[in-house]
Amino acid sequence: MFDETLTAKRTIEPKPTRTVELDRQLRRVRFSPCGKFLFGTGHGGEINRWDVTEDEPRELPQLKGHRGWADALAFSRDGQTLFSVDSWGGLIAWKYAEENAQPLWQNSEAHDGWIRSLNLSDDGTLVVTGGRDRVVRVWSATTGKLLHELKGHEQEVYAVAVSTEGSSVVSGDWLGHLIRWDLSTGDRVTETRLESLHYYERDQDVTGLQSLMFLDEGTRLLCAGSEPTKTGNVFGVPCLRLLNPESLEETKVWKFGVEKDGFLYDIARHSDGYYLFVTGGTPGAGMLQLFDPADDKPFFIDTKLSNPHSVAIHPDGRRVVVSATNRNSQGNGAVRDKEGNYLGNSSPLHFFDLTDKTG
Amino acid sequence: MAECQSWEHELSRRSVLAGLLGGAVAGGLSPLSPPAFAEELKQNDKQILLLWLDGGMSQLESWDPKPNTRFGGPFRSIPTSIPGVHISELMPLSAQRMHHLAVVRSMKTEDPNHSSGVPKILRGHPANRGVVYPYFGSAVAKLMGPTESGLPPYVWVKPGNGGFISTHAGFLGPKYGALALGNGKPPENLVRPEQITDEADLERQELRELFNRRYAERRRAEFSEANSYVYDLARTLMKNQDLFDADKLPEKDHERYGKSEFGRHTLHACRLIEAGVRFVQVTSYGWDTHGDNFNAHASRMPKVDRALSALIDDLNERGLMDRVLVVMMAEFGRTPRINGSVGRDHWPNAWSLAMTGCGIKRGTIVGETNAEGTDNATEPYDIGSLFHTWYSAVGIESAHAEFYNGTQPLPIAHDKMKPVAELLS
Repeated sequence: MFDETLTAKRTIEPKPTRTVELDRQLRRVRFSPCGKFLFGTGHGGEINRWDVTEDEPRELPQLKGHRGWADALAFSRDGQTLFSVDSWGGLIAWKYAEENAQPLWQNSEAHDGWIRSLNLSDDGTLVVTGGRDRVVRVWSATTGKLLHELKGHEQEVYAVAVSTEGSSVVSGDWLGHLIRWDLSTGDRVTETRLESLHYYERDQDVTGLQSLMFLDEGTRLLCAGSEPTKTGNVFGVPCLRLLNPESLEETKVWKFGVEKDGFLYDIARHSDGYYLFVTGGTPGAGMLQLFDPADDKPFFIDTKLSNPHSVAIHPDGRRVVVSATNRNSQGNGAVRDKEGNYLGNSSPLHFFDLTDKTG
Repeated sequence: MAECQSWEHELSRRSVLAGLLGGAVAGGLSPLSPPAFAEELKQNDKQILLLWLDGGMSQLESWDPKPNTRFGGPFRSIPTSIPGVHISELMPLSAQRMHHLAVVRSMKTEDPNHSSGVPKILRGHPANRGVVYPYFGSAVAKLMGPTESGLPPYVWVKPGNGGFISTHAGFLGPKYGALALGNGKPPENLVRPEQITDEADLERQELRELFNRRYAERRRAEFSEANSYVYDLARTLMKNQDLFDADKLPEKDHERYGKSEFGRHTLHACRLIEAGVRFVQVTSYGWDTHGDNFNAHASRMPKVDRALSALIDDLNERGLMDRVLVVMMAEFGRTPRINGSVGRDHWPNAWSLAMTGCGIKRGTIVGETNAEGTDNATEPYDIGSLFHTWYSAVGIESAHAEFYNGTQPLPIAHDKMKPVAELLS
């Protein structure tokens, strides 16, 4: 992660190749490990699917089975199974590559309400979820059987991560309370509270926690999100925090912008060791940034995107997709077309090629 | 009564003033006519508690959810104690008490801006008469006066600073402004210093009255009256210090209402109502969720749910439901459309508000929006109709009662609108 030989990669920049307009809003995009498909979840219960084997993405039948908002996505390590969660508490495992993909197994009451986070163990046997019901649950990836139920958070669980060897889970809640759990006993091993992950004002809690991920064989833990500074029309400074995975203490913080830039919504690690992430603020603010943690600042920033929410890197290491928002998505009152129909917003898919600007 | 209350002096002074104004006010009546009606209102023991969610609560995350639709958001709806009626999962306690509530789901108002929308809604958006109408609390203070308790008729429990907010009174004059309890605390320096004896205090009061008379000689009546009123108010507060200090309320009640700002202030408001304040407004700020709307409501709604439910329980248990009108609303709702900041913007087109208490047909849902919540599917109601409804609920004939601005008679609510009959018991 802190390999100085990455310096050469700092000449990489994403070059726009095409934009695919949609009639709906997305929250999360991910390429399948086989590289053939792009999946997107959003403001609906459907999982959108595109064939990306050709230059022009071709939309395929949606995967249907979720309710509310389909949200987080993750793939099994063998690349054969897609796991997805929704805001009504549903967890589904899909054989995603089939034309009319059906669930391998599903649990519509995996949690009581919104499942905020989904993660898989490195060996692919465990699925870990955390949600609005303040509980962390560990499931068998192959059968969907509940293996562990971890209770101890006093607020809703926003992010979960499984350690590399699969023996422990780290979870974080709305208040910035982080807990490391021993999966063999279900006990809390370590816990701490990161004050900077939580902001409270005028009866509103704002969390700066978006996601947790283990790095470098589990020797580091990355916490992505924000340092929230205002409620209501929420403001915050997008940031990454590096944590000691044992003590959960913060060891380093990078900030990427100013208060209006909001949240670091999604992050993807390139196989060459650097990161791509997107930030979105109010109103319409958004950035795609490329970052090498050996540095203090990103080596590339694109500020042309409107409110991006997710970024994914294709397994070929070249193609990148960002789901953003149409321009002028904010506005009071009714926005209607000429026929008087009420208009919603949409999430254009911006495709990029990662190119070396030095040639 | 053991001792003479300051409000009795105040009422007496009002009578004198009314007499003095006789030549100027139509027919020599008091500013509210006819006199028989004014007398009737004095006997009226009805009170009002307004819960104001400043910035605009989302109807979709509260009273009018549209789950699993394009704009429905992530949350589920849950059944309520009214068969067939669902509300957001963020309000489970209110759902259990839905038979005590009446909800309008087809509000349609005019103004999508905070700065102009807040006063329009709080004034009932009457037709333009070239005057600044009073806010609801000031209007009620004028129309109904204080209750027999002698406590100030319009108290505003709010975050931030307190004081006496005369601007709410509009053309009625500063006296009908709001006594604002900032952060649920009484005004500072309320306690009489120990070194001032009762005798000395009495002398100070007489001296103040002398100064007050001199002040009045050189000023318009409404200003001198307001000046006197504030002093009388201060004396009333001094005699009821505990009542105006939210910190003096029992811990178990704080638990029930929740320790949030809104919970503490709603509890305080309930106790002020119990003690006899005519009109109490509680304001919660920060509902302008252009960004992160769903997490904001996930955080805020349970606090409102808990406080509202405890309030309903208390009013029921204490037999106050038939005496107190409770209204919960904002200046508008929030757009069905979800913006790029995962927020909802301002939406006066089709939103919801709720009420309970005296004069209200509880367990009622009035109006309906379409499947995606983008338009009203039934007759829309403007705030003027609701003001008529609420006045009717507390026994004020809003179609006939009038304010007087000098010699100019003015309707107390929009004269082209009428009460929503379905809401009245």
